[in-house]
Amino acid sequence: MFTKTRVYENLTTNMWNKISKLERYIASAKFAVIIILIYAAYMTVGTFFESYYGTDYTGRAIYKHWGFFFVQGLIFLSIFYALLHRMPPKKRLYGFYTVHIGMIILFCGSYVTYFAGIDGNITLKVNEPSRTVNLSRDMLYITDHSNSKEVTYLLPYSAGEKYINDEYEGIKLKRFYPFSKDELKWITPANRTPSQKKLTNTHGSQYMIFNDSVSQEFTMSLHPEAIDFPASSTMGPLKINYLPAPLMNCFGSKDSSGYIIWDSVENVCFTPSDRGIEVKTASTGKTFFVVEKNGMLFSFFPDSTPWPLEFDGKELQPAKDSALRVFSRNLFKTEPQLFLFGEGVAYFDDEWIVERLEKDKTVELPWMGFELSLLHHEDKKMPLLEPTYIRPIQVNNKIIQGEQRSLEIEVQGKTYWVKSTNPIALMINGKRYSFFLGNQSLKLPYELNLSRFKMDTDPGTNNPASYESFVNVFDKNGVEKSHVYMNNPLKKDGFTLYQASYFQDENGNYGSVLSVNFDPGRFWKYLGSLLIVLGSAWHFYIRRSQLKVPAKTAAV
Amino acid sequence: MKTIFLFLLSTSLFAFSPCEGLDDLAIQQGGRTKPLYVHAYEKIKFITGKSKIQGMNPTTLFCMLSVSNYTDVGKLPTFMIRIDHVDTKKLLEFKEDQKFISINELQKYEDKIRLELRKQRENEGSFKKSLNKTYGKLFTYKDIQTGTNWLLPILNNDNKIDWLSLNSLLSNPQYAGLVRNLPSFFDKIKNDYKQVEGDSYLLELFYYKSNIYRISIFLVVLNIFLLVVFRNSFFPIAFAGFNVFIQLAAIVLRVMISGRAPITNMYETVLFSGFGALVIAMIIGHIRKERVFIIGGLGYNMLCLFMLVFANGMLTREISPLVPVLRDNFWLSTHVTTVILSYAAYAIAWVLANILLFKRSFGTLTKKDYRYQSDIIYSSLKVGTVLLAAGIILGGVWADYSWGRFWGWDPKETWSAIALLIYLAILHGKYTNWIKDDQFIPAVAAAFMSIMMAWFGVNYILATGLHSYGFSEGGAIFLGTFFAAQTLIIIVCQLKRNELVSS
Repeated sequence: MFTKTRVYENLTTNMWNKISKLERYIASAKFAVIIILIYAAYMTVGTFFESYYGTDYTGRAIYKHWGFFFVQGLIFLSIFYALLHRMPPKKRLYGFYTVHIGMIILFCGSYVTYFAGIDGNITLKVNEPSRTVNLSRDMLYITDHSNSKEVTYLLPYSAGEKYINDEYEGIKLKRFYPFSKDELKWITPANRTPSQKKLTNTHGSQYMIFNDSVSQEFTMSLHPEAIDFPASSTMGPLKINYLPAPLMNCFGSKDSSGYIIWDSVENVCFTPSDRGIEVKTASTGKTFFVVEKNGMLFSFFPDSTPWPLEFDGKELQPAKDSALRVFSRNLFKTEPQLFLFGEGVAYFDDEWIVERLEKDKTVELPWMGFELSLLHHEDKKMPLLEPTYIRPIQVNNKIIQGEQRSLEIEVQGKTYWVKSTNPIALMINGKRYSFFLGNQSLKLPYELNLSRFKMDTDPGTNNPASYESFVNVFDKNGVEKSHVYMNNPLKKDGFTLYQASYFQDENGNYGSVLSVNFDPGRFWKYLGSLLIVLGSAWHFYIRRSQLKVPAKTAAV
Repeated sequence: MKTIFLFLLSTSLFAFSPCEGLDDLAIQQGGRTKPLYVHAYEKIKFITGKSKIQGMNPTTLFCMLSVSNYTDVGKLPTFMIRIDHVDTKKLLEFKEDQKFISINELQKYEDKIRLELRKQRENEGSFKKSLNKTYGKLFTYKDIQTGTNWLLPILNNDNKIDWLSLNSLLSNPQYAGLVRNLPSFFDKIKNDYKQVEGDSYLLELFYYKSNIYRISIFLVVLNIFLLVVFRNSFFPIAFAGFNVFIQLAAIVLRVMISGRAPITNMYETVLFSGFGALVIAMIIGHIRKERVFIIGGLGYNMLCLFMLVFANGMLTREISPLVPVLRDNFWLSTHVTTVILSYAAYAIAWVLANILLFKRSFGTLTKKDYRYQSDIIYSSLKVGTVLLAAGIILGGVWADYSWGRFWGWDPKETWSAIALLIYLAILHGKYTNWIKDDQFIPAVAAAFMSIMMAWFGVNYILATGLHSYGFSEGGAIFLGTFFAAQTLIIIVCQLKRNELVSS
């Protein structure tokens, strides 16, 4: 028993010796210098990150990263032990104590702000009351439209991609990209329904149109699931139509009527002259012709409707479910129209010109020196914009790439991407759900209504000289008028609202952005700051008066 | 004979010029009312890099160019524009060794420049910057030529001043008659303005024409010389006091013109830090009874004056209106003033540290002197540190007051904190004698680079985008040179260090 205690005591003394040695080291100025320099180096990296990748990314990767907190923790320890090891108080160290206690208070105040404070902003449009404050964290909003229930999920605050692996009522949350960009991928759609298997003409193509000064890439697809890629679009005055490949043959036809008939069942096209169909003029002056298919007759009045006319017992009606339809090439002669058929192109330039497109070969178009080239073509695969993770890129203080947040979800074995730029809606077990990626938000205990936004400019220029918001505040006690402008915030119920920014909506009306702030650490931060400044002055003053003494004695 | 002929020619050129004596005409531009001379000077300098062309005063030049579309002013001197960027030169089809292009010639390339700018839309590089600048010059020239670059004070029926461009005036039938007698028209609006609004705007004309900073350079250099030569005379110190007075007058003048604290742009911070360093040096010098501080302060003051006068590419002396958040703000003024004063105190330490480095390597120093001098540097550091800590905290107070957050890891904030931390590390090391004088002196010299980074680097390197690596802008070249030179000095001095002589 006796020896055992001795051993135990020895061990503990030994351990205590080591601990106190460590404490002495942490309390030393040497440790302080090292940790200060590490902290400074860390910050330096932060400022360069900020310049490359922007504020948001840098906050996630550096300033609010655990590594940075760890270094701050070491600084805290260094200060704390430096104080502890210079106890009991000595008169010559009064300044030293004040500074270092000030630092500890400042630290604590900052952490109170960080953990319990609120820093967000509220967007106000004139006469559109709001009480929603946007915060910086990302949030997934899922709305069940059958009962208007909304659930939210707070997404991780990370700089890199993150696997979530969480589930809500059969909706699996998988990967989250805080920064991403869409990349074009060609995929074979899985889990096709039997009706989809029969689909023909599901091709898609990627083109580039360019002249000396501009160039643009675009992708078009006929696949019904390729929702991001329409089959027609416009580019300035130019209209672009993406059509099934077989139609190409008819565009070059010499047929004089200009009509093309499309048989969507047989997947073929023909012109009246191809089948020896006579185009006649009715007594009303309208053109008409009749097409025979499988022993049935279809009458077309192509100037009125693309569908064949059908007698429904009372009158003639267009049959919109017909396999046959007609359209007139003549309609496309008057304005710039480009027809693309996957690996072919047609346009009208005094006559109809049809050309085959091959990779690395360009076709000259008759408008403004434009040229067209085919970059990629797929017969069966569909194009898909799939987000990939990317570090954001900042140029001249503006993020030019990577601002999109994306979340991968899995529902009934199929995966979908919810993007901050593009909310989605899905039918799950007969109920409609919508998914939206936005900011975490907070409801103010009162409602704000912007009655007027005023912006003054410098004389003779458009540069803003001041912004002012006239706001009505509604709470349970009634209405209160408030005037918020630079350096004159609105303070109410613990929140302080500052004039932060402004915007112009699509109609040119101005709106105002107020920053909303709640800072419980404020007092401590101010107190700590005051102690630091006074203490450091005091410290140097004491040091000086002490230094004088030996200098004098040395002189003697 | 030739000179007489030239003289006659030139007098005949200007004899009918409607543009004489307009230096003090009040005009409005960029949101401020100022004398025409000030505006013309800046614009002509922006386009050509010079303030005079063929001996012609910028006001006359500016005005003649502006009215040349409406009245015959004779032949205008040719504006020559210097192009430095290799790719821009190529675009403008420069011959080998060609450096300048005339504005008329350049105008032929306008579409080409615009097209190229559109192509470069996605890129950020020195080429785009050069194109933008060239296009800016072209645009400004055209803006002046069409008479839209300046607004003139026209007295309306309510006895108030309306500001109208020359172009809108002369194309308005009501004023069309004016063209025939421009000199009397200019005379009239000049006097009208003075009667309605007073002539306080003329202060700016005086300030611009006074050359106060050029004169100061001479005075300060002379002052340093006197301090070094007459070591025991009081006169050089009194002379330093006179320099403080002269520069204070210049700053007060600027404050009266702009109506705000002189710390709202780079130019003003350089001006104020130079002045602040001199004042701080005199105060510490007085307390410590040591005139070496004043040498340090004057040395730094001189460098600042050089920058003010010669570094126009980087610092613009034009006074322009402030963005809203910087207006009427007590905390901002206090914060920036404190920070700039801390830079000034650190600058004194930096100058003295470099002097000491040189003395150690290329002169003889006794141990006692070395100790004493490094103690003096230490004193400046203490002042700088207290001021910088206070300045950063005041910045937090300002940010908190203006938009509700004390600290936001903004690069400017962060770099000032980095600088403070670096000085704190030095002070902690020195305090416990972990860092000896032999490391302390070069460390102080090197630490000022962090101040330069916080002061200029954040604006000229970090904010302009690192992606461009286009160290073509004045600020980045300046900083790069500074860092390289300071590093070189430290290395050379450390390698070639003489032994200290025991006293």
